[in-house]
Amino acid sequence: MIIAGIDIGNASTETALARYVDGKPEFLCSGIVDTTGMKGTRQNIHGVFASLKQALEKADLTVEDVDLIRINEAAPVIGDVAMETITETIITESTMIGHNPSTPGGLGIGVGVTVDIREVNNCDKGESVIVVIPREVDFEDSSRIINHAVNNGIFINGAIVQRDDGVLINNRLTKKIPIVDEVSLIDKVPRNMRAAIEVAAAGSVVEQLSNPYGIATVFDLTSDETKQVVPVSRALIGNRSAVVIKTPAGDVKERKIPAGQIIIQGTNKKAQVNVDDGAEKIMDAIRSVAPVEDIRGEAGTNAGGMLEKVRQVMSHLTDQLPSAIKIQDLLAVDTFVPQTVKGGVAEEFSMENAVGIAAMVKADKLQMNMIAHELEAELGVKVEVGGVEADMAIRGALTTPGSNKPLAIIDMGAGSTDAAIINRAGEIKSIHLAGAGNMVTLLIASELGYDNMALAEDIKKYPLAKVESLFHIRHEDGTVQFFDKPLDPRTFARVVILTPNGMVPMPGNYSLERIRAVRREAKTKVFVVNAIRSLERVSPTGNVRDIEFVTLVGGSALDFEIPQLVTDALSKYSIVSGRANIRGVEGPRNAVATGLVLAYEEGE
Amino acid sequence: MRMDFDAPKPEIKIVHGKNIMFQKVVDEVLHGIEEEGVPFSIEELEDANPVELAFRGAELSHLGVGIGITENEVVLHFIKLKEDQPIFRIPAYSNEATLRAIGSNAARLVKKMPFKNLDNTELS
Repeated sequence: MIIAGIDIGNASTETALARYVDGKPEFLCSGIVDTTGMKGTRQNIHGVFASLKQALEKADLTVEDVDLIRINEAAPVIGDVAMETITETIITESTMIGHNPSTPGGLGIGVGVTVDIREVNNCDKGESVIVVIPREVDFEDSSRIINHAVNNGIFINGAIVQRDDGVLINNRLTKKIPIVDEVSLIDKVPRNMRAAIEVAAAGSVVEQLSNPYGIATVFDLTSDETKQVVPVSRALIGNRSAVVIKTPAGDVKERKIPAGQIIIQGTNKKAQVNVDDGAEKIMDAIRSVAPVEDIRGEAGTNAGGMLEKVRQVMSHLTDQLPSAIKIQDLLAVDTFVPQTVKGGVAEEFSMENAVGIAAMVKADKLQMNMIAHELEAELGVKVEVGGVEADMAIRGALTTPGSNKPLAIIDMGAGSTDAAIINRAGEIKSIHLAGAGNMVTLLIASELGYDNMALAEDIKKYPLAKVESLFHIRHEDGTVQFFDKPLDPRTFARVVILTPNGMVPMPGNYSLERIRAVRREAKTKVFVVNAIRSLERVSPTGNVRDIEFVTLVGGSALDFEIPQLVTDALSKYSIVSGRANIRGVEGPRNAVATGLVLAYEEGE
Repeated sequence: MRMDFDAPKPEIKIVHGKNIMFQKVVDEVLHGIEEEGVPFSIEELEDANPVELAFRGAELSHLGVGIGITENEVVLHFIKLKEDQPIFRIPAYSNEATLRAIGSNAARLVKKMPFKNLDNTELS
């Protein structure tokens, strides 16, 4: 007889097809497609069809040949992710341009009153002026006007320019001044206000304006005022050029958004923790009250909003009342998010603190039976709901060559990280934790400031390279690769993602090292943390060290570096861990589907 | 910028046809290079084909980067490319920002910086 095991996961639906001969399974082939809809819902059926069809076509069979379909009793967990910034910088009345044009003009620091260049000749002799040059005035006119004004005894100490004209203007001036160009929203630059401009030499960064006391010196600030400019100077650190304008009512604030409390209700204990205290405190609190029954946020705060949003999404998907949805695990991660400064002039941004949260919800079990019923009706093939997902995964994982009981598996998926352990007697214990591949994507996207999740997904999945000439790239590890044909000019001198469909140039000015660091850190923060967290829970002694062998399965185990990061981290606990190779051919994929087929043999 | 053909100075070479009537185009391209701070020099040659002029410029340039300008076209070329396959070519009637951007891109090719987008100069 022919049996199909079908595993509906958060991201992919996998099929294992086998023929039973004399009670022994002989695997024919497998199929894999993207899961349609949220795991555990009616929409999954399309994906199940497609996955089964794919496997059948490879084996030259039709649906009629199949005698039994076994689907997983999907661990009823659904993961969702959310991100909340807990600080923000607001400038009431613009007071700074923390701006990094590629080619500013001139050098040094200049202080004066901001004046439109077309009105500069109305200034008094001996006055100190910073000219503001909008798009309409070209560099030849501007430089002529400035030279003329300087000859008339007006001190022009700097210029703020809208176009990319800084060097051109500077080259035509008799007296050199610092010039900041490419200021897009020049109309927002307040006029007749005291301003300071600093341009550093090539290869250096601004020193005066990135120092709160430096700003205080320039503007004669009191100690209270100096306190207020700290966010300004902080935002200017690392720039080659900067402008600070002092407006009378001007004020930059770093506002702390009240993030609120998270209330963790355990079976026996209850804990409250402030989101401001950071991810580590939150995770400690969760560990201290385990096992967790529900997690709530303080009403009317960001934390409350964030968790309620997750609850809403889940209740919508599972058709249950929000109050019936219990959040049973949470992974909190500290991160930074570049946020546009409110009230900025040149689209300045500052790095704000944020907390990323992945939550896991136990959903309704009945949905799987409903899917089985519908499948059976449509296909005319007997469909049964097989055993618990984690048990199936272990059975599948044990087909990895070189593995044996006792064995622990870590199933690293897209929505959740699951762990299970089987002892010598064959008893299985399992656990589901929040946070997996989707969380990594979210962290990468938010930390680099991309709205584009597909791009973040690519960054997560594929290695990077830097295009160094029209003919060669340098990979992350420093090796150089040459090409016969010139590369696309759009990729020239950029960091690119080496996807199977070619090189994708990265927007923005991030260096390869920075993107790589963000990527690896996101993976470590989620998967290494979760690997240890999950093993702690399933270990018979509660100690990670008492586990000897670990195999990694699931989609995220296919990643080019996640298994290494986890293997490396676990080796510190003297654990042998590595990527599984299901049936010796599938790699870390297809564990649950394989297990579903194998479980039939044992009469489960 | 002093013209000096003997000294092996690292320069971008701009080559344009004789008796030009399109000084404005040349000037904008030069401004693009100047803003990026890379040295350049100009030469006049008897040749009507802008791609050939650009490649000739790339051969003369110690940086291997040449720009050919005729009354119809502005072409950016690099010595390591095939002669008939320049990096960028834009019509000479392009707006000021685009003309400047191709000059900037010549400089950026030398500086190994990402190019400006010639289709939409607002974007870069």
